[in-house]
Amino acid sequence: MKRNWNKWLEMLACFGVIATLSVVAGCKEDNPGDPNDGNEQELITKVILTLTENGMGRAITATFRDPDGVGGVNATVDTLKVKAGSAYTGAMALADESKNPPTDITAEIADEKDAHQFFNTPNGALAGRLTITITDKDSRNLPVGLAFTIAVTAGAPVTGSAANSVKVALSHYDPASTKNGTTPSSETDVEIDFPVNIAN
Amino acid sequence: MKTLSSSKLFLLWASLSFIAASHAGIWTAGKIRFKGRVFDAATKAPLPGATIFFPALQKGAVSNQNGEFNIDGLEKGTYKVACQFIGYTTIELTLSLSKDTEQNFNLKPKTLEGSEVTVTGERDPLKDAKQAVTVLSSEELDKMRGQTLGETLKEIPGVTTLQTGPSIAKPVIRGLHSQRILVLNAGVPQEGQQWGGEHAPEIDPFAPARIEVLKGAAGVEYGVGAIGGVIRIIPCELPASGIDGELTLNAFSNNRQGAGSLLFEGANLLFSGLGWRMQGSLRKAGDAHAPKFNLQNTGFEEGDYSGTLGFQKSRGGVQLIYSHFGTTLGIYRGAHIGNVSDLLHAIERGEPASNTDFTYDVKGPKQEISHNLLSLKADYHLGSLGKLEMQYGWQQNNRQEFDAHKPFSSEPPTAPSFDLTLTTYTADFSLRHAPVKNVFGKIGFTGMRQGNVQTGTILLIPNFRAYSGGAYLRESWTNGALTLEAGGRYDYRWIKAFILENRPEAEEKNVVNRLHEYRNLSGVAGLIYQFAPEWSIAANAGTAWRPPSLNELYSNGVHHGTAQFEIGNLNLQNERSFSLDATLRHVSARHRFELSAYDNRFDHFIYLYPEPEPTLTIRGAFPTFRYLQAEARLRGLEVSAARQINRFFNLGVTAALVRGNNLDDHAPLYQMPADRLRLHADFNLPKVSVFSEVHIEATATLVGKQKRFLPNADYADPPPGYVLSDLLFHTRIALGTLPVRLNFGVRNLFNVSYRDYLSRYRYFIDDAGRDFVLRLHIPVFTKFSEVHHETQLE
Repeated sequence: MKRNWNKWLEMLACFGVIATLSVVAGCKEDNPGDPNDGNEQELITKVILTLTENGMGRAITATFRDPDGVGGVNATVDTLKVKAGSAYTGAMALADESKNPPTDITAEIADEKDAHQFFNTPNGALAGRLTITITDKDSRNLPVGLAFTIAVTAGAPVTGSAANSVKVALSHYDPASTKNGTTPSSETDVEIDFPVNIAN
Repeated sequence: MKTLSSSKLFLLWASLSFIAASHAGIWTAGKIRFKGRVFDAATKAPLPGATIFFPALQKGAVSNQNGEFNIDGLEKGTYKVACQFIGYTTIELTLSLSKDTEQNFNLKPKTLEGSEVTVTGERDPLKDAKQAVTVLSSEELDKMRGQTLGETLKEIPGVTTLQTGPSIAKPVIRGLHSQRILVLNAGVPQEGQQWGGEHAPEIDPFAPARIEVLKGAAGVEYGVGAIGGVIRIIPCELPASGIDGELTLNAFSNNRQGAGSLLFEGANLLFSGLGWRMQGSLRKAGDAHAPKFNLQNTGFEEGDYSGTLGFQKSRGGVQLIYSHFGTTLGIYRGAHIGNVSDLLHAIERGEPASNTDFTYDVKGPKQEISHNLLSLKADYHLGSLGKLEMQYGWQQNNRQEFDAHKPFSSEPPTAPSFDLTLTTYTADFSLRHAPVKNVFGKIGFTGMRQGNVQTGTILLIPNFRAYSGGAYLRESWTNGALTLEAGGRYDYRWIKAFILENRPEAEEKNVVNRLHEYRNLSGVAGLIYQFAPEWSIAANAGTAWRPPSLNELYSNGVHHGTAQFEIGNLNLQNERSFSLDATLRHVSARHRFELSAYDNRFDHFIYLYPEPEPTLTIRGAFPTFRYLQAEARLRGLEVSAARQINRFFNLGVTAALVRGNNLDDHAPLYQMPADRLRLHADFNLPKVSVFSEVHIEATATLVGKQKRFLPNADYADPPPGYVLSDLLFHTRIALGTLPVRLNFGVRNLFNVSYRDYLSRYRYFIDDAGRDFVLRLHIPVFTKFSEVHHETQLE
């Protein structure tokens, strides 16, 4: 009986040592260490609408910013201020500010203009007051939307809000052949509601 | 096969009536004495409580504390005698009794242990009326080869799947899935990337194995992963002699899938006691079809292989298994959306945005997954002490997910958007002690070390390193008709997460280490009582727990395809369950009935709670969900009944109900399976022209609409209920000298358009339509091995 016990303890010790060593020591390959930082995704964190009133030199801007990307600190959006009865020439600029230095996304969209289109929709009290017309075209002569004009009809002032806003949506077409100039894609890269004030 | 099971059935019935009879003390007198002892064949220890029984005479005895038995008053003659005991393989002998006879029985332990909570599988319930085991045998699985693990398990009442298209199915047991279900592959807890509903278990559907499902918590034996249930993939035993091989070929019409598997196994190749097996499988499928449209980019390509070496001697054995699983899975293109407006448009449209043609090409979005497993198992019989078992496992899981295209471009991505490698080492050892009087038990220790490294562009979960350890003890007492069980376990888990802090104002990004520690106890108590011949009841009460998983702690981002912003919660505590479970069973020659009821209460149940304010992002506002904890309760019923009408014809029905409630919010839990009813009829004919063993099976599955949901918390209400019909024709034919098994079936016979509530694509597309399936099993060496067997017998 005693011999049995010794043998048993020997076996147990053997298994124990093997198991413990292999689990605790293991290999070094799986060392998690620091997360890889060199392969980050491209984001859009900033969209700037720039409007120049026709015949006037001064530019007005409204900016959407979400500098840390999705999540974290909440995004901010400016109200765009226009005058009733005026006409503007506009430009859209996009950037990734989560990188250092920030990346200009406008050029990337311009390069891939055949696969993108902006859709700008005035909502609430702005419907019928703003006419937004895209002026730049892609290789198939379909609208893109980095350049546009805005015409504001004369009338009562409007205070910009979540309801009284222009929805700016950037559709991404994959494949590019699915772009037809009128239908938004099933994959949206940007969707922002810019509140708009109309002053007299 | 049929005769064998009915003889077993008779034996069971007979031994039960014997137990009843022995209590009543009805005996007839004779002259001959039959005596002997019963031993555990493995440990050589005497076995008390075993039944020795002469079915023809309705006579028997139960072995005493020294394993001795004694049956007096037998008449001369030739009889069958059976020796059986819970957890051991029954021995049947034919004896000629002319004088007092002494006979010892060495019972072999069954390789599987009974567990506290159990299911009895659908078709093979006869052998385990008392003990809770069984499920889908290798032969039953053959009828479903080529389908995913999840699909295969759907037949069991109480098991459903969380489906992401035709190729990804995650098993859901009694309403619980993912981190609450443990998959045990060849004895090693499968450690894959379980962070999302679209991450399915990495298991070769052709692996030569038996599958067991334990419904409900099994935390004492299996630790913190097993709060909702356990799926055990148990490799078939290695052959003891000869050489054998099998070729399996499958064809599926719906996604034009072709699949094949080749297996060779044998024994005593180099020296006696050495068994080996090699197996490999390939599957390739293109786009699946719903009745009305093509499901773009839902194809897949999978290649798996495994090798096993085993050495067995009388006192112990060693087994080495290596397996590789590798797959490339397409993700339905239309589920790759940008924002909530896109999702709402897709729901409104009700079908894909554009028609596409069938293709085998898998493009982005896609997943590339590999899983490698190395398992080394050893057991050793320590004589009167019991049996020592040790298992060591190494696993490496790599998951790469690719987007549809580079950002703002039509180019396919050059690098995966996330790439995770999870490496896990596990060690278990346990001692199953020799019975002490009528008490059996097991003491065990487990340890695990894990590391996760990621190199993608999206931080799905942080890198982490984890250690865990546990110790458990389980004991059971039995006197034949009544078995009582109790057990307890302690677990400890240590996790260090390496978090990349995203602060744009900082020049360099900071890596912060955060340490989490979790420890707690699990416990279980249960009984199985054979209260009448053919009737038994099993009841169980237990408590189990699990620590929050990394994604529940650290998620922070939009889930593609569901357009939800999910936020982790660092303050999550351990989730704990208190479960009550009872099963009533009836097994007789022509009837089978099983009713299970359960009531699981959870403290700190982890779930996603919709935040009142959406998250504003550059892609618009996303509904936001945060991981919170609440008291929850999941209750349910499962019924299964079967009746043999005559020799040729069987009828059966199964049904399952689950009710999940968040007790703090007085609201239904999200994503609970809808009520299900399954009816089946099968016809068995011995021989029809060249076809032998003809088996025809018709099944109808009725799934209700989930009416219990939180209004306005989801984009679309649960889809309506549906009825699916399947037909299966199974037979054996001679192909030259080879006995080929042929299996032809139709799934979704009436090509019904439907969406399951637990399908992650239900917002976008219907589930797959009609599918014709052909399966062939061709033994390669049958003749050869027969010859081999004969020489061995000589």
